[in-house]
Amino acid sequence: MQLHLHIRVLVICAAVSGAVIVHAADSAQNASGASTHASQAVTIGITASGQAVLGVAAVPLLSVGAVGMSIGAGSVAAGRGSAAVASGVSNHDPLPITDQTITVNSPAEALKPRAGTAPR
Amino acid sequence: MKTFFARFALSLLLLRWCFICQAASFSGSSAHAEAYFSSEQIIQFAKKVERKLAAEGARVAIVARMGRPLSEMPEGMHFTHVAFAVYSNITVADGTSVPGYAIYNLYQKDDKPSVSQLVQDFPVDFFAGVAQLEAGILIPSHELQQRLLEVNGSPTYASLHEPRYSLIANPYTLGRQNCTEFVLDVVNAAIYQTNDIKIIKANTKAYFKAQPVNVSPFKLMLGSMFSAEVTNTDQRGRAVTATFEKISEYLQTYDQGAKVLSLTP
Repeated sequence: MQLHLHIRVLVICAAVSGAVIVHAADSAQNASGASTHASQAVTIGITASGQAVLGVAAVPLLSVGAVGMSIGAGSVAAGRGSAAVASGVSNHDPLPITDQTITVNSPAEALKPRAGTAPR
Repeated sequence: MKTFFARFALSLLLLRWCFICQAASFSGSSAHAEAYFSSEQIIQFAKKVERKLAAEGARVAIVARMGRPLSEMPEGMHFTHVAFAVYSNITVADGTSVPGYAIYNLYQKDDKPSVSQLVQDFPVDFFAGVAQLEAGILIPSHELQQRLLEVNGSPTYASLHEPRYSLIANPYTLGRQNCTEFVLDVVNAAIYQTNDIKIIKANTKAYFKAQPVNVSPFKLMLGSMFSAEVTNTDQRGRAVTATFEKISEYLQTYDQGAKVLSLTP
C-alpha cells in the first residue's frame, strides 16, 4: 500500500518535474526572444520614423601621425583617407561627430527572421 | 526493500526538481516582452554618450551597458555588456560619410547562446533594449588608444576571439570567453603589442585582478547543468570573471591617463 503511494507520488513528481523543465526552457527562450524583439522594436521605431539613418560601413579615423603604424593594410589605406577628415584635430581636442543617429538595421532588415545576435 | 528504492527515487526526483528551479533562478531569464525605454529615449541617451566620448577626444573607448536591472545582478557586477567604441568615418545609406562612433562587440548568437560572434554596430543599437539608462565609459590613455587602433585594424583582433561562450568566463584561462574577457584580451594585446595568447594570459594572470563570481557554487553547478551559456569548465577553484569595473581598475593602475566615467540621462 505504502509502495503504491510512493509510486503515485513518483509519477506526479516526474510529471511536474518535466513540466518545470519545459517551463524553464520556454522561459529562457522567451527571454531571449523578448530581448531580441525589444531591441528590434526600438530599432524599427527609430528607422521607420526617420530618426536614424542606416550605416553601411565604418572605418576607424586614425589620429594624425598614426597612419604609418603597423596596422592592417586595408585599414592603413582607409586610414589615409580618413586622416584627411581628421586633420587639424589634435590628439586631445574634442572630436566632431554627426548629429544624425546611425543604426545597422533598416526596417526591412530588422523585420526579417533574425539569426543574428542577442544583446546582453 | 522496495520501499527503500521508491523513497530513494522520490528523493532524486525532488532533488532534480529543486536543481531545475535553482537553475532557472540563476539564469535570471525573466521575460521582458516590452522595451524598457522609448526609441526617443534610446536615441537621446546614445547620442549623449557619443557626444561625451567626442568631447573627451576619445578615438577608442570601452563602453558598458546595463542589459538587466541592477537588482538582478550578482554582487560586484553592474554592467552586463562591454565593447569598444571607435571614432570612425561612417558611410551611411545615401553614400555620404559622417564622423561618429562605431561599436565593436562580441555578441552571443540568438539561436545558440553558447557561441559568440564579433559584430560591429552603432551606439543606438548598443543601447537598444537596455534595462537601465546608464553607461560605463573607460577612456584609455592616448598611447593605449593608438595601440588599440592598431590591434583593431589587424588580424590579431579576430584571432583573439574564442567563439565558445560562457557568461562567467575565466579571464585567466583559455577555452571559454565572454565579451568582457575578449575586451581584456584585446587590451592586453595592445599593451604588450603581441598576438600571442599565451603571453596575453600570462600577463593577465600576473597583473589583472578578476571579479569573484558571488554566486554559490551550488547555483553555479546548476547553471552549468541547465544553461548552455554557463559553464565552469574553464574555472579552477572559486569562479572568477572579468568585469567593466575590474578592467577600469586595471587600466587606472597601469595606464597613466586612463579615465573612467559613468553617464546617465
